[in-house]
Amino acid sequence: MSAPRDPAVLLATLRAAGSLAVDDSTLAEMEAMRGRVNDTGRLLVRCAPPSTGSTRGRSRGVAFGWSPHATPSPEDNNDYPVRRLAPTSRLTWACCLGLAWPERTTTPYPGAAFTRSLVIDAAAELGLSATFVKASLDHDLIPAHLVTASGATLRLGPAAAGMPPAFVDSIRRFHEQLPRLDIPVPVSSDSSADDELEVSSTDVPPPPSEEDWEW
Amino acid sequence: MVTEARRLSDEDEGLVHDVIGALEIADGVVPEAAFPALTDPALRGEVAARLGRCGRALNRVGDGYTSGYDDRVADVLVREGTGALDPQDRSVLALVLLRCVAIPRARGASASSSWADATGIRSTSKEELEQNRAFNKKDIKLSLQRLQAAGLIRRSARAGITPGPALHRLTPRRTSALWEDLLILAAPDSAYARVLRQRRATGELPGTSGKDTT
Repeated sequence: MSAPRDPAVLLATLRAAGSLAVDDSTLAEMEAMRGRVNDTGRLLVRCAPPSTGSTRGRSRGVAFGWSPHATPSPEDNNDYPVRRLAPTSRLTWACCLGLAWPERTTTPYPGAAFTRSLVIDAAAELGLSATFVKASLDHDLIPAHLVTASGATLRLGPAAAGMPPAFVDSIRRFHEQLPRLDIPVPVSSDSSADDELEVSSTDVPPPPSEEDWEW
Repeated sequence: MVTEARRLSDEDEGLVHDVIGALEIADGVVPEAAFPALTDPALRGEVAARLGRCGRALNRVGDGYTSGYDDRVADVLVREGTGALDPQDRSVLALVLLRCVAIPRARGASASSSWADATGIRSTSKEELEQNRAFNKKDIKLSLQRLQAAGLIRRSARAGITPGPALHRLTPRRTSALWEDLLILAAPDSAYARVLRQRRATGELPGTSGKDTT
């Protein structure tokens, strides 16, 4: 039996990468990580393992989430600086949420797969140009792990898995106002060289119940 | 030796959790005065201990604090290549730090030891960086975008390119090693550079090994 891995290293790896694959983690390692994370006011939440972006199959990953009583609220006092998304990135993020979260009663994460072209189309209806949308995806949302890209397919990223429940509940109240396209996503088995792959929402498995997503 | 977290009162647990949350998400320095768990030495010690159990370190920066990767853990991440900058981004960052911080300080513009301290630094520009023939314009542009996303540089139309707040998360050891790397880069034939290389070769001094994480 191999020696247990250092939980501090595992947690640091999780922070550096945005998520951590735990298929090979022992129960003891998971318990150690969870205890240490809980002591900081955070949680380990289930997410897609890194580098796959897909929640299909049995591969599992974890990301950092926030305990409900310890969620930071820097906007309350402005006591310390925080990074804020530029308006174009916020709009792009809203489009991603709208495309990934079709049903209000479900959780946004893992959500449905979508594509860049769908985000561009949804953002265009808000007056946002494709150039800004691509820049927002590549320079803000994907590096922040809010969105993951696997080839042409985009999904909500591990940072979205860690969205505080209160935040999700707030967005749920305005769910119908999230930008989304009115046309159904076409199912396509072929893609031309110039087109991105269109993903049907029926290809995406329904998200598991909420109790499966928080350890 | 890693010990269990000390059991605190509910109030103190809340104070510790509040400041750890702030430290982990802040885009810069968290003022000590803003959080009781930073002003109180006992609670601050507990904050440092709990961060340490997660591979993080509490760094004193001016009148406040940041969290960063613990040196021991960061060495492991570097060995594994986790979160490390790629060589091109590292080189462009070195250029930015040379132009913005190292050269002005070498000329006596500032005695500050903080990379992202605005005192005595100058900004640079994409055009200035493009004067370096080792990179083409596209590579520099892509690197600057990635460095900005990582918080290692700031860019604005008015202020130009300056070191970013993520540099505040470097521990003192890593800050020193980075400064030494830049000195070796800027003046490789100097006596100081020779001494540094000799000391690193004998293991007397840690280097950044060309990679680092924040």
